[in-house]
Amino acid sequence: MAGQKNEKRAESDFFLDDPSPLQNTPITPDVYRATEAYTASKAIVFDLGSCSLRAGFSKCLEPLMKLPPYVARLRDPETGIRTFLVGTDALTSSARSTAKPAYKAGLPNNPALMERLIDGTLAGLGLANESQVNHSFILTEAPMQPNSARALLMELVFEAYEAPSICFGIDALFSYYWNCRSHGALSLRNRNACVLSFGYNNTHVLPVMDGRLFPQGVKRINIGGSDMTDQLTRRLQLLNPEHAGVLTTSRCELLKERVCFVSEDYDNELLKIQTDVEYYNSVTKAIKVPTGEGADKPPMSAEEKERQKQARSENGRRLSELMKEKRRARKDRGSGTDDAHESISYTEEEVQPLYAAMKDFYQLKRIEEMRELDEDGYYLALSHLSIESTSALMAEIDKRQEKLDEERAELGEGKSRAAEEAWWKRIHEDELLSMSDSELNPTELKRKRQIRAWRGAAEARERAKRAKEAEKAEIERRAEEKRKMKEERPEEYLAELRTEREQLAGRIKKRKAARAAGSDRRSQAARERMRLLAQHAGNKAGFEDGPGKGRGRGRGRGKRSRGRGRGRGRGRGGRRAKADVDDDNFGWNDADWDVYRSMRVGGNESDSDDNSAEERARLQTLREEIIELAPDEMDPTISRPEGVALLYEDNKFPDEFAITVDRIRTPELVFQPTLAGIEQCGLIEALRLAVGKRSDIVKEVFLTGGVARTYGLRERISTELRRCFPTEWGEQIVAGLTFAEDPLLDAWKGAALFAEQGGELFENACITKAEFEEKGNGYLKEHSCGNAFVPTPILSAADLELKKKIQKQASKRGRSRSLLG
Amino acid sequence: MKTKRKRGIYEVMTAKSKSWKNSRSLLTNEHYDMMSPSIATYVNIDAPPSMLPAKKYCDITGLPAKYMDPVTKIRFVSKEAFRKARDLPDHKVEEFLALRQAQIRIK
Repeated sequence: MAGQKNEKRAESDFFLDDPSPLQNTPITPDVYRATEAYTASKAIVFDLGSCSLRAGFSKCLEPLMKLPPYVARLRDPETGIRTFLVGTDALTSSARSTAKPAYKAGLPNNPALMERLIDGTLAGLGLANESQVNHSFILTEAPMQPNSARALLMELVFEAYEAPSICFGIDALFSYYWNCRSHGALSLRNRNACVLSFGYNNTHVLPVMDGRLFPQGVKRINIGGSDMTDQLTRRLQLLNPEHAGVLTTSRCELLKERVCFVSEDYDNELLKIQTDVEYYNSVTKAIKVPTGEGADKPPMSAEEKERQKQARSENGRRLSELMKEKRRARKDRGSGTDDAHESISYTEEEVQPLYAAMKDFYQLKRIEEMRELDEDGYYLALSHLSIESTSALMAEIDKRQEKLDEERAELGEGKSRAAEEAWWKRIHEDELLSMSDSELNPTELKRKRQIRAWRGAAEARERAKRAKEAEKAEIERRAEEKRKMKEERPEEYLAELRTEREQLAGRIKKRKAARAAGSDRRSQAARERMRLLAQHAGNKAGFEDGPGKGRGRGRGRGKRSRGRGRGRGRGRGGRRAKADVDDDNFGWNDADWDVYRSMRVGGNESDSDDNSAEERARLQTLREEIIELAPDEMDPTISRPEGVALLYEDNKFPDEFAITVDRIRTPELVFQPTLAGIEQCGLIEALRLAVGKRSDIVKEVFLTGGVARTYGLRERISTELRRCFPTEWGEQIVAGLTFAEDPLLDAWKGAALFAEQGGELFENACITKAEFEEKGNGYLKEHSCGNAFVPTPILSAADLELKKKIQKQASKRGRSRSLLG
Repeated sequence: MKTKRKRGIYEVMTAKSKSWKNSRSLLTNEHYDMMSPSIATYVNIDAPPSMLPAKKYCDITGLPAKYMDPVTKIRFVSKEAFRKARDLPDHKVEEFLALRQAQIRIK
């Protein structure tokens, strides 16, 4: 990854986005009728590509419809009428789960779906109102298309649409035909070439001899664009599990098209990546993934914000009303009982004046009560308060009574009553606590204990609160100090930051090492752990069956390991050992449990794992702060993996991942199908097999199909061709290497050209309805861009019998005799 | 094989789905196995296995691999890749192997 100095992030190389859908330009029936280019076209051309179906009128320059060959069925829930969606609609509608491709690898095997797909396409071409199609059909097919698949299409075209004629051709050869037109030739006569077709499902090598396909040389490699996308998707998902959700097939398809390239020499390139850091960095691309929903959405408009705000406040209002209702209901239920006004709340500060007044008042009140009981004490108390006489006391009491009433009035009735009750309760509790246990009856004793527990808990809470506050204040003070230091002595501050960073980094590293050592069985740490475990087990054994002496020894040993930090340790243990054998009181002391810490994997560090995340976060902030102060400083605590070592690193940024080897591995599949586990030879070997010794074919190599757009393919093919054919051909071959102008659309354009300008050739290639009825289903007329016709053998009864026998034997042997290979 | 019926383009949209042939039965009816092997057909144009030994690449990194882990069966290039392979949970190992169709198949 380039520019990773000081953790500052570089601009991502590529943003992983959804690809835009295919652009359709459907026309209405009126437009169709009104436009001469449409009505006068000789043919409707269907390029049945596996990735997208392209259809249009042959007089046009481009197909009108481009759609994925998917059909989805849709059922209207009200009327129950079944309808069908085709193309992009099928994949984006609510019925997309039912979407199925109408053909796979150019093999239409479901007549119903195929019919619907063509229906939908014809409707988009403005033919919805025609009862009969007056144009010929040109359909592309796979090399060596089985006759039954062709029969299916013929039946459809002639019987459902009553088209005058149909013509079949191979898309790659149509594409070649289109690209040959610049030579002024409107036929492929006298042409020798090797056409490489990089399709979506398959890759074909199609040798052309004297302007005709040479069937025995045709080779198919079962790797296509979809397999590359599939491999790339799966690999990226496996390598970046955190992004698996956003790495969808469609996004990876885009990634494949934009980022992947063919390397000129795969193994050498890998070696270079492995050894050359510079080269590694130049190959690696950082891919930014869309994060969350918020990043995708456009910023909210003002009214949208207003609406959301209102909805929020409305929700709040409703909730508070609900709560009020609830409270009221509870009050109604609880009225008349003691805790009717328990819910009245007051703060400590509020009631403080009331309590003061009460204290003053009851102090004198108690003195007054004493007069009857204890006259000496009474006068002593009076003199203590320097009150001269009883009447003065009465006057003072009245004064304080008034003050108390004032306070009560100020606080309001409900609150003051509640507060007073609490006060009295506390007084009574205090009294209870001050009495000695012997004076109390059992219920009172129980209550006293309860009160004491409550008080203790309250106190502890208070203490904890105070400690927390003190801690907070301390942190604040320290932060303030640091801020001051940062302003006044930045140098010193920076030095401090650095030391802290180093300490933290060191601690984290140590912990990591400890964990790694823990998982290594032969490490010191693991041995220590084993020792502890064995000792513990030994203790248990010693208790159960050993004789007195053995038991004592076992126990003693155990104590040393376990009782570290145990306060009373040995003496107490020894006493207990005699008392009971089964229970060794392990766990009575908190320190006992430390033994498990040291037994844990990688556990012999002072601090637990709990704060490791905290520490990492702190380290991150430290680093950021240091960068802020000293932007050019190199961080010595970051170990910077370089080159190939980066392959094993986690992604540095949460919304980014790197792609290196997969950039060249993905298109490499077609040269090495074994990469995907397909036991076939690569493209170049297939090409050599296809042309055999016919050197004239190799002089012209033509590349077409979607994958042919991949960057670097030309260089790779020319290098490989130079390598595998005699040197004297060298430049000739490379000069004869041509690419389709537009690998995606040239097949359609070629077919359209063939229909419009092919003249006699086209006429001769068309199968009319009469011929279809005469020659039967699956009949094919051979032409320069089409397949060779191999009639399906009509088997005699004996032959059929033989075939059945062979199949039976094969299945008996447990091997399924798959014709697909 | 006579004409089915006359119909408009939208009529078929409501028609009942016809029987569906899978590619295998489609190919069986072609009787390819009763033909001379010199005739190129859909099934025999598949490219044959390579004459060269397949190159081996690291399952984790994609670099040329020298070693194979006997436990996970994952090919690896370096000790870091090996460590990574060993740290993978079983299902992830299977997925990596499935990329080159080398996963352990239970029949």
